[in-house]
Amino acid sequence: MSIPYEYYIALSGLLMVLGLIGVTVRKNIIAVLISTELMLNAVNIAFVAYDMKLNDVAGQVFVFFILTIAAAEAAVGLGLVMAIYRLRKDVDVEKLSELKL
Amino acid sequence: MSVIEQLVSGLGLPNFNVLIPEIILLLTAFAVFILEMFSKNRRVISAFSITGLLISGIYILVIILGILKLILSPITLREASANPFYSYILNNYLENFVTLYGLYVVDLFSLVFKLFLIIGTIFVLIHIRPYAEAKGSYYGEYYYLILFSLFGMFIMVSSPNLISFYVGLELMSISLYVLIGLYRKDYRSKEGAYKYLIIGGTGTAIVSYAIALLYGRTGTFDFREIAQTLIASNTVDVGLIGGLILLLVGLALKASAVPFHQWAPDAYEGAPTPVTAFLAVPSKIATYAIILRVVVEAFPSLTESWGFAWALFAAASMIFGNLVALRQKSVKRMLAYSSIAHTGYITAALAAPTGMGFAALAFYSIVYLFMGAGAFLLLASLEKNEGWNNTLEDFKGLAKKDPVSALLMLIFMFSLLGIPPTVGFFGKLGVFLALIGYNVWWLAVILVVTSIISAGYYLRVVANMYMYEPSFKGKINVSLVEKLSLGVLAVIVLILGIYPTQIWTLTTTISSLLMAGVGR
Amino acid sequence: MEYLWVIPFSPLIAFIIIGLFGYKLLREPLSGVIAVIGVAISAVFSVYGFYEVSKTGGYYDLKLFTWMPLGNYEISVSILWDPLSALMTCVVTVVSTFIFIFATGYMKGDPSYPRFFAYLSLFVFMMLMLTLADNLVQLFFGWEGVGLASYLLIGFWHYKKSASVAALEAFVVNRVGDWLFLLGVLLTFVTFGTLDYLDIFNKIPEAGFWTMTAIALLLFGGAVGKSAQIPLHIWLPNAMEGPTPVSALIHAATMVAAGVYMVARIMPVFASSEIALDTVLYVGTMSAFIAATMGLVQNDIKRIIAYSTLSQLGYMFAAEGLGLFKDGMFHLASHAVFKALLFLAAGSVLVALHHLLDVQKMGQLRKYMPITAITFLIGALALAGIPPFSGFFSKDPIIEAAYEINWVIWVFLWSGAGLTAFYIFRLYFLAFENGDRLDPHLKAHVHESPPNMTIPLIVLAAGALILGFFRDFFMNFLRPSLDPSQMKFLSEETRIIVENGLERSHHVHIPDVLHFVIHSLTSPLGLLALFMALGGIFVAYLMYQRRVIDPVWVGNTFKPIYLLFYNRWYFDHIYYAIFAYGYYKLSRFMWKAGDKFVIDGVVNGSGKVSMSFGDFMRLAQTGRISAYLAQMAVGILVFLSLFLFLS
Repeated sequence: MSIPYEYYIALSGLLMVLGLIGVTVRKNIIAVLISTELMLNAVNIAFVAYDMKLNDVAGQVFVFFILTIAAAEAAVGLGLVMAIYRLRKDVDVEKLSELKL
Repeated sequence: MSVIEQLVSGLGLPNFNVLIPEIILLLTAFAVFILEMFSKNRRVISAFSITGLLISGIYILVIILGILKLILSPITLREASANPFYSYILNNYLENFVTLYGLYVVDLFSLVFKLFLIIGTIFVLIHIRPYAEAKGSYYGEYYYLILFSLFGMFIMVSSPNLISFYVGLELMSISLYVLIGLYRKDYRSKEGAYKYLIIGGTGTAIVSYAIALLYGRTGTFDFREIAQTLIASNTVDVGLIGGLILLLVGLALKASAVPFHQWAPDAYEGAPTPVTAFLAVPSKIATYAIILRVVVEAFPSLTESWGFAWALFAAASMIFGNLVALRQKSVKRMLAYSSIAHTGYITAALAAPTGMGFAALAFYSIVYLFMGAGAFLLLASLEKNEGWNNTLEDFKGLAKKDPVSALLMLIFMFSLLGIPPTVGFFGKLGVFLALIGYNVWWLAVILVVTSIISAGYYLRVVANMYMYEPSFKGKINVSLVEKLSLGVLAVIVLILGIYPTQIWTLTTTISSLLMAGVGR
Repeated sequence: MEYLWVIPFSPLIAFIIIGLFGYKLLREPLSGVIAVIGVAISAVFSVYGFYEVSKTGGYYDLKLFTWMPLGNYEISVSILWDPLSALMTCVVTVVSTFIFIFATGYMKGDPSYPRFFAYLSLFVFMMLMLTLADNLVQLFFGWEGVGLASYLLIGFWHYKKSASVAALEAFVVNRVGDWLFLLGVLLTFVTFGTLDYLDIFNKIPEAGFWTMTAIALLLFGGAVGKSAQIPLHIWLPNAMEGPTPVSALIHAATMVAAGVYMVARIMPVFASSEIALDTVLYVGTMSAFIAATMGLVQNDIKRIIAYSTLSQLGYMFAAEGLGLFKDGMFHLASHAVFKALLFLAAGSVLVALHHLLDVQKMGQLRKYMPITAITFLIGALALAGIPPFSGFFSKDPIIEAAYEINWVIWVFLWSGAGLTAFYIFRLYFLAFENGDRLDPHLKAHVHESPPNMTIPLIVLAAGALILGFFRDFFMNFLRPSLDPSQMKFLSEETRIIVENGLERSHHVHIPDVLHFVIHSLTSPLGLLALFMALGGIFVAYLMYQRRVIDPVWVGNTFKPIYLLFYNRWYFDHIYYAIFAYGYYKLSRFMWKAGDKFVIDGVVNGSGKVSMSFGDFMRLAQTGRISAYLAQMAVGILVFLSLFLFLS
C-alpha cells in the first residue's frame, strides 16, 4: 500500500513554510542560506509527488534542473558569505543593514 | 546508426538555424571566458565581447526586418520562396520556429526583445571598463558574466515553457548575484548581493513551487497546453489559485513591483553602477517580456483577474516608488526607486488586457531601455571622478562645470518624467490611452498623479544642475567615448520622442502576433 | 503631385547639412549658399505646384507617412495642396529665397554665420510644415517649431542682454496663445474624433453652435499670440532685436502671418460661428488702429516698421472678420512682399550706418544709397496704399468693403490708413531726405550695399509695383479654397452653414482691377480713402521735409495723446504691473500664507504631504533582510487570501 500523494504535497508545503520562517527568523547568514535551500527541496518533493500522481516523467526532470540551480545558488551564496565575513568578521544577519531607507 | 542518431530519430533534429544568434552569443561568452585567462589586454576583451554582441544583434535585426517585410507587405508565398533570403526566413522563422523539442520559441516577439536587450547590453559593456578601472575594481569576469546573464534573458524571452523560463530566469539571476558583488573591497556591494541572493532565492523557491502546483493541476509545463487545460476544465481550485498567485508573486519579485521590491534599492545602490544599469534595464525588460508572454499564452482565460492583480501591484509601485524617491539624497538610490515606479507604469498596462495595453507595455519597456540605461550610465561616468558620491548636492552647478553631461542628464530626466519631446512622454501616453480605452480610470488617474509627483525629484536634479553654483570641488571628467555613447542614447530618446511611429508599429505588431499566436 | 514632398524637406536637408558641417567644412560663404539652394529648390517646386493647381483648381491630399496611430484616427504627416496652401507656400518660399540671398550679404563676417543659416533653414522647414499641414497636429507642430526658430533667432546675438530678454519675452507671450490653441485642438478632437481639416469641415453640422464658437475662439487665441494682435502684441516690437533678415522673414512676411493663414485655412470653422467672426473683426480692427498710433511717435527704424506690421496684420484679420477671406489672404501676400522690402531696405541702411537705429540721427541717405532709397520709397508707397502699388489693391478694398458692412469699423480702418501713410513717410523723410544730421564719422563710410543685397531689394520692389494688377487672378485662384460655392471638399450641409456665416459680406461687390482704379478715382468713398493716404503723406512732408510744422510743437500741444502713443498705450506698463509686480506680490503672499507650501511644491519638488508620506513609507526599507522577507510574506498572504476570497 502506498501513501497517497496528498501527504507528500502537505509535507512539501510544510517544508516550504518552514523554510520561509527560517529565512525570516534565523540570525546566521549561513543558516539563512540553508533555509532557502530547504525551500527548494520542498519544491522537489512536490514535483516528485505530482509526478507520481500524473504518471509522468517531466516533473522528475524538473527536479534535476532545480538541483543544479540550487547548487549554483548555494555556491554563489557561500562565496558571498565568505566575502562578507572577510570584510566584517561577522555572520549576524541583523548587522547586514548598511544599505537602507 | 550511432546512438545519437537513434536518439534524435524519434524526435527529429531541432532547428539550429533559428538559434544562430544564441550560438554566437554563447561562443562569445566562452571565448571571453578563455581569453580573460590568457590575455591581460582589457581593451581586447571589451572589444571582443562588444563585437560578438554586435554580430548577433545585426543578425537579429536583419531577420526582424525580413519577417516584417514578409508579414506586412503583400508578398505571395511563391515570390517569397523564390527569393533565397525570404525562403530562409519563411522556413525557419515563420514555420519551424519552435525548436529544441518545444522548449524554445523564436518568434518575432522574442526577436524584438532580444534585439533591444543586446543594444542595452552593448551600452553597459562600453561603460564598464572605464568605470571599473577608475574605481580600481577591474574584473574580467564582468564581461562573460554579463554575457551569460544576457543569455539567460534570451532563454527567458524565448521560453514557451515553464522549464525553459525557469532555467533562463535562474541563469540570469545567478549571474546577476555575482555581478552585484563584484566590487573590490566594497562591503556594500556584498551586502546588496547577499540581500538580492536571499530574496531572489526565496523568489526562485516561490516560482518553482508555483510551477509545481501548476504542473500538478495541469500535467504540463507548456504555456499553450496549460491554457488549453484550464479552458477545458474550467474549474478553479485552491491549488490552481495558489500556483497562479505564487507565479505572480515570483514575477513581481523579479520585476521589483511593490510589495516585493525590497531587494531592489539595496542591490542597486550596492552594485557597481554599470551593473546597476544592467540590473535596472535589460534584466527588467526581459522580465516584463516574460510577464507579457505568460499572460497572453498561459492564462488567456484569466486575463481579467491577472490584470487586476497587476493593477494592484502597479498602483502600489507607482505610489510607493515615487513617494519614497522624493526623499532620497543619493541620486543613484533615487533612480532605483524611480525604477520601481517605472515597473508600476509599465505593468499598469496589464490592467487593460487588450492589444493596445500589451503594445503599450512592450513599447514602454523598450523605450525605458534608452532612458533608464542613459541615466544610470551617466551616473557611472560621473562617479568615476574622485570624490563624486552621486548625491543631490554633488549635482549642484553641474551645468557650469560640464555642460554636456548636464544636458544629457536633463534629457534623461525629462524622458523619465515624460515631458515631450522625449520618448518617455509617449510611453506614458500609450499606457494612459490603453487604460482609459479599457475604462480603468482609477489606475489612469494614479498614473497621472504619481507622474506629477515624480516631477518633484526629477526636476530637483535638473534645478540643482542649472540653478546653483557648483558645490562639487573636484574635477569633472567624462571621456569622449562615454559622452558619445550617452549622446547616442540621448539622441535616440529625442528622435523617438519626435517620431515614435516605427517602434510603436513594431510593438503593435508583436503584441497582435503574440495574441494571435501565429504558427503556434 | 508626388513631387510636392520636396518642398518642406529641401530646407530641412539644408538645415541638417549646415548643422552637421557648418562650422567645420562649409563656413562662411558655403553654408549660406547651401541654405539659399535649399530654399530655392522648394521655391521652384512650389511655384510649379502653384501653376498646376491654378490650372485645375483642385486639391490634393498627400499622406506622406503616419506619425502616430491614435485609436481609430491616424495622425499623419501630409501635404494638403490647394490654392490657399499653394499661395501661402509660394509666398513663404519665394520671399524666403530673396531674404536668404540678402542675408548672405547682411550677415557677412558674423562669427556665427553657419548657425544663422541653419536656424533660418529650420524656420523655413517648420513654416512649410505649418502651411502644408492637412491636420491640426501637424499645424501645431509647425506652429511650435516656428516659435522655437523665432526664439532662437531673436536671441541670435545672445551676448546682447536685450536680445535674450526679447527672445524670452516672445517665447513666453507666445506660450499663452499656444495653450489656448492646444486647448482648441483637444476640444476639436473630443468633438469630432478627428483632426484632419477636411473631415472636421464635414462634421461641422454635427457640433453645436457653442462648441464651434469655443473651438474657433480657442484656436483664434493661438493666432492672436502668433500674429501679435492686441492684447498679445507686446513681443513683436521687442523681437526686432534679432538680425534684420530675421525681422523681415519671420516677424513681417511669414511667421506672424501664420495666424491669418490658420484662420483662413479653417475658414468653415470660423464661418460657423458669428461670435467668432466678430471677435476676429474687432481684435483685428483694434490692432490695426492702435498699432498705427503707436507707430507714429517711434524713433527706432525697425520698430516703426514692426508697428506697421502689427497694424497690417490687423487689417488682414479685419478682412477675415468681415467675411472677406480672399482679400485677407491677398493682402497677406502683397504685405509679405512690400514689408520684406521695407525691412530689407532698413537692413541695408543699418549695414551702411553700423547699426544705428535712431531715425532722428539719419538724413539725406538717398544721396549715398540711391537704390535702397528708391526701393524703400516703393515699399512705403505700397504700404500707404497709393495706386498703382500693390498695397492699394490689397488694402483699399478691405477698407471700402468695411464701409458697406459696418461703418464704425470703417472709421477705424480708414483713419488707420492715414496714420499708416504718415508714419511710414515720416520715416522715409527723416532717413532718406531732409536735413543733414548724420554723424560725420559715419558719413565718410556710407555707401550703397553690394549686389547680393540690392538685387533682392530690386526684385521685391518690382513685385510691390506689379503684384496689385494680378488681384483678379488671385481672387479667382483662391475661390476653390475660400468661396463656399466652389469648395469641392465641403459637404452640402456644411456649405449651407458656411454660406450663412459669410452672409455679412454677400452684398459687398468689389469690381475688377481696372474698374477698381476708376472707382477709387471717381466715387466719393474711393476718393476719401485715397485722400486720407495722400493727406498722411502730405502732413509728413510738411512736418519732416519742409519743417513747416514743428513736430516738437505738435508733441507739446497734444501732450497727453503724444504720451499715450509714445508709451504704447501703456500696455507694457500694465503687463509689467500685473505679471512682474503682481507675481511678486502674489508669491510674497503665498510664501507667508502657505508656509513655503507653494515653493516646496513648485520649485523644490512636491508638496509636504507627499514628502512626509514618502518619509513614512521609507521606514519600511529597514535594511534588514528578515524585515524584507516578513513584508514579502505578508504580501503573499494578502494576495493569496484576496484571490482565494474573490474566486
